[in-house]
Amino acid sequence: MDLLKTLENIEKDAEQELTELDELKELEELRVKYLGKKGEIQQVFNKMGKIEPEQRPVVGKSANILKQKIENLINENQQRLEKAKEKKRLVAEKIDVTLPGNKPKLGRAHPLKVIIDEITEIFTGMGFSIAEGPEVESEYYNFAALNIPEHHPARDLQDTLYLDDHYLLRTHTSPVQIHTMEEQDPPIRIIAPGKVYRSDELDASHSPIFHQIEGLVVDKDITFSDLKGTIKLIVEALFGENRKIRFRPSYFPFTEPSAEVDVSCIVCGGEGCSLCSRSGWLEIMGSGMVHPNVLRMSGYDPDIYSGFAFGVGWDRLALLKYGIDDIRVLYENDRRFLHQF
Amino acid sequence: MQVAYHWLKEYLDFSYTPAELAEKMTMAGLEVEGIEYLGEGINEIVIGEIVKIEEHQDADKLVICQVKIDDESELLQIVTGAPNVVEGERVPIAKVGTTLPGGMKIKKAKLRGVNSFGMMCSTDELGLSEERAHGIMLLGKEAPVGRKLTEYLGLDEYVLKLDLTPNYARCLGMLGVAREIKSLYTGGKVNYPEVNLEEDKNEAAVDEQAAIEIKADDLCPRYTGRLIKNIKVGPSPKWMQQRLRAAGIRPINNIVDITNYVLMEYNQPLHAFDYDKLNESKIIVRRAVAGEKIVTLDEKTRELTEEMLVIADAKEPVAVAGVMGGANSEVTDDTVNIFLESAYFNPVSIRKTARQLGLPSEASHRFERGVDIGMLKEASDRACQLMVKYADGELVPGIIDEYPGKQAKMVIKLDPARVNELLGLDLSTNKIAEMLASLDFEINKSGNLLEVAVPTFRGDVTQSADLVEEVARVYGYNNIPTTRPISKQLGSKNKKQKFEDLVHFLMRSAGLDQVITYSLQDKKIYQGLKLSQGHRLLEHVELKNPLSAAFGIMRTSLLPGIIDVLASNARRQIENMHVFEMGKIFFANQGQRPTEINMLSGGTFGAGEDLWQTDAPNFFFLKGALEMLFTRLQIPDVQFKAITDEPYFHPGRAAKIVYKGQYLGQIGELLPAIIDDKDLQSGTTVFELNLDKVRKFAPEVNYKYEKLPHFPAVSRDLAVVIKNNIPVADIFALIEDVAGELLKELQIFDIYQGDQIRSGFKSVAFKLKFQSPTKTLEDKEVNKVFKKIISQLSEKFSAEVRGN
Repeated sequence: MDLLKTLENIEKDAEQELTELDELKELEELRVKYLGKKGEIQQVFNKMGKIEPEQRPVVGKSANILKQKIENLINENQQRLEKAKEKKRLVAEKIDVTLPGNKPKLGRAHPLKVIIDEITEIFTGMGFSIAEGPEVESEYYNFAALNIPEHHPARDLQDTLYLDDHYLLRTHTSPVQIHTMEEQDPPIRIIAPGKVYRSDELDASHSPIFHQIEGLVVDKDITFSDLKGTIKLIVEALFGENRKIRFRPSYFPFTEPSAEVDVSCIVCGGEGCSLCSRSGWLEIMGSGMVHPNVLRMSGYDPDIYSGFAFGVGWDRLALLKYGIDDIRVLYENDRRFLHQF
Repeated sequence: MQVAYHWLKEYLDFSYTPAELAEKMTMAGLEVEGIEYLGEGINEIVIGEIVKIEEHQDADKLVICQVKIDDESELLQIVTGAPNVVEGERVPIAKVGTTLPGGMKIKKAKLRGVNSFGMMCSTDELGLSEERAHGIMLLGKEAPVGRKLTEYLGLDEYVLKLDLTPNYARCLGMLGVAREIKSLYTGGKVNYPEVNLEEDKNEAAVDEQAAIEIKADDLCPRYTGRLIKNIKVGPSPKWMQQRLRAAGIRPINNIVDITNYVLMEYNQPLHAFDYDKLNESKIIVRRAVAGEKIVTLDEKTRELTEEMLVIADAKEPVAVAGVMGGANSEVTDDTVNIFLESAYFNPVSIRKTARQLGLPSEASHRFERGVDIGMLKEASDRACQLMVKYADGELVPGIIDEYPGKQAKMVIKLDPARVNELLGLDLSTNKIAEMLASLDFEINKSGNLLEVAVPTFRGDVTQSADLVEEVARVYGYNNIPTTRPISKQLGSKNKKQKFEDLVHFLMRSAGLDQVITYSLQDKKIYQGLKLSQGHRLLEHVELKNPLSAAFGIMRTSLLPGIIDVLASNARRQIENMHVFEMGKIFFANQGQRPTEINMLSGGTFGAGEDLWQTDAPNFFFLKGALEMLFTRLQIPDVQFKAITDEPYFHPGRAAKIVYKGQYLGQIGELLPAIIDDKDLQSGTTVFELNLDKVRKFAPEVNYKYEKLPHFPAVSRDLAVVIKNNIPVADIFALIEDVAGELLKELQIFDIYQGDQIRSGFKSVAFKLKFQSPTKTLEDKEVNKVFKKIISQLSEKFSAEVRGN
């Protein structure tokens, strides 16, 4: 009985079987086959009694070495197989990363809100706060306190919707100027966004209900050049720094001097196109130095205080900025429109 | 106001092109809305003479004309079918190569074998009339052959259309416009018309033949009258007609045209009375007697009030002052003698009268804005000169000039330092004085101040601020530097605004799109909500003067707007939509200021997941959004209580939203009948919240850290069978109440009705999570609580525990 020969055969078989192995679970079988309690190595040990005593240490040593070797082989192959298995799993788990993601369904802000957020940020950055006022106004706040007496042609500038003899729907956000001056002491620095109402038929460029943003600054030493600088900043922030801007004399009963503000046309840049009626300019807001009569009526001494005010068509800003050609679109709330912003 | 370019040049020497002039005027505050070239498209048309007409051999309706277009060229042969051609007539000719306003290009043509080299034009072909003309435009035998038609007809003219604000009344006349451009740009002087009056020395002076009495000098501070005799009413000269047309005024006859022409020159409305129709040759300016009547020029009888100013003769009113003349004193073709009024009337009075009578006119428009009280005589003189010349009138010597309201010029004290302070400039006192002087203000220095005398044509200037604007205009708005006021404050939104922004953000986070709908609505929209009489939504505020029924009332709810948005989108095949709106609603308040309430409202259709398999995904989508809103606003324990009585809600699918016993709003699926009416998707659900109330309950966001638990949690599931009509919220409340502080989480994870549950009952499965902050819970502690819950559920709701 040549146990050494047996060991050699075991070694050869084990090496071959282990390296050819490709399933991890078979590895355990081989471990049992070679190293188990009834395994082939153990069987060699079991037969030790039957060989020459002087051979025993030799065979014993060889068997132990082989046992160790097979253990190592098993471990090596286990690692190999585990790696292969992991790799196979990763390959199997491949996904098509070009499939669309699971998008959270966030709601959209209306474009008027997008604009006002932008404007509010600019103005709060300059120290302005946001003022509000009622949409139903009295004659006093909408007209008289703004230096628009009854029976003055300036009343023709705005077609008013009345509720009764006392109350009307504010035709502009300017009454907020008066409320603010009555409630606060200078310095005043506010913008007042809100809904306004006019007796205008609904068409592509008019709406009986629309939005304005009023601005008012009152303090000592407020100048017309401050007005210009403030408006320039907001125009540049909204329409870009390359926009040209011009101020031209105009008339609002509650400001003096009064100025209309134009920006170079956002479509043609000043060449003249249908948007700007070939003038190259777009009218974007009215402004001026607060009229002394208005200051006086609100209890401010015009010899001490001065201020400027402006009023912007909020809808118009949105139309211009986003290239919308019909104001009605803003109030139709078509989902496909809302989802463009 | 329309300004004819060449006409304006007569009064002022300038070299601007029409476009440059328009730019200058706009920048001076006289906004030019547009420029029209009157000869647009017909500049190449020349005047030709039909020298000879022959018959066309092969066509009955055509004739062959030989037309002379100048002395050198050969005659043009033109074939025409026009019925009105006559030899010797002068007509407009479009030569070969000319393009007509309609776009037609004239080419050499052959008509039935005869060559034709051009076209004779009708008025409509030239764009000079809207209607189709019957034949060629005949210019008469005196029209100069070879001249451009535009020149001959005065159409070689640019018209600048001004949109004047009320403070530019002085520019409602050509001379005023010229003066403005002179002052701001060209310098030099305005060429006023040269007026040399030839008075008829044989006539007695005017004050012997007529009398003026002003009985209401508060409303008429000055009234002048002149007498022109033996006039001949007829057409006015062609040049005058052309200018009036350019100004947008239709020529009538020489008398009317002359008063209109002077109106356009001097901005002074004049009125011509038939002198012979004035009883006792007397003019009395007085307030009307209440109930007094007058038939005005438009042949309508007008009842007058005591507030109205009339011009009367010895017997009765002959004109509504400054508004419209009376038929009884009207100038007709038979009129021989004219009494010419040139007066100043109180602007407010004119405005009220014109409004009350519904009679706005060129005259009232100007009187309302204030005419130049200092120019009445000059305007009258100018008209007289023209009437003598163009109506063969004989001018009675002298003028009656009643001027009881004569006042010294207004003087305003102006502090040059304050001017600089307000404009952000550093102008010297002299410079400011010079600028104002260029605008015809008279300046006197008085210490540090300027005393500025205001000319009579500047009724808009009443205080120093008005002069500050004038300085800015002369200096040029765009030359003033740009600065920014130094901020001494921290800008920020207030609490209310931050709250609203947060609500906005949360609604969007929940997947709702913001919409903005009209706050004026049609009353009828509320009928669609099936409201019963007396429903609070019908307490709306009506507009006194609505544009139309569509914008007739102020909304009492945002829901109709939301429903409309959902409906219009559903009709466009949009499959799902979730929207919200924040805005005001208005309620009538017994004649007091209407109540304005800030609302949050929203609606949805096509929500996906049917959470409880109750076929109400939209309801629970919106409810979830609101629960999230309340959680984030830190308003806990908001209750949703079933309601069955809101007429527009499905009675089994609606709830009011209540907090601490106060109504905050409601949510509900729309009534199927409304869904059908509006073509909405089934299950469409809407909600509304009173945002003012919600805000009151929302604490200022103030987060506080709570220590995280160290000890493990124990979870238990509990499924109970209860009667169908027991609200789950009641079970919830009981479990929470019984479980006490150890219960950290309570969730429903299933509701079941079906085969395994007897009818009229439902199975509700809860997941309970227990946890103690101080120790690891033992099973028996949890079991004890759990048992107590079960026994209480059984006792209070006869609940049976499933699978236990």
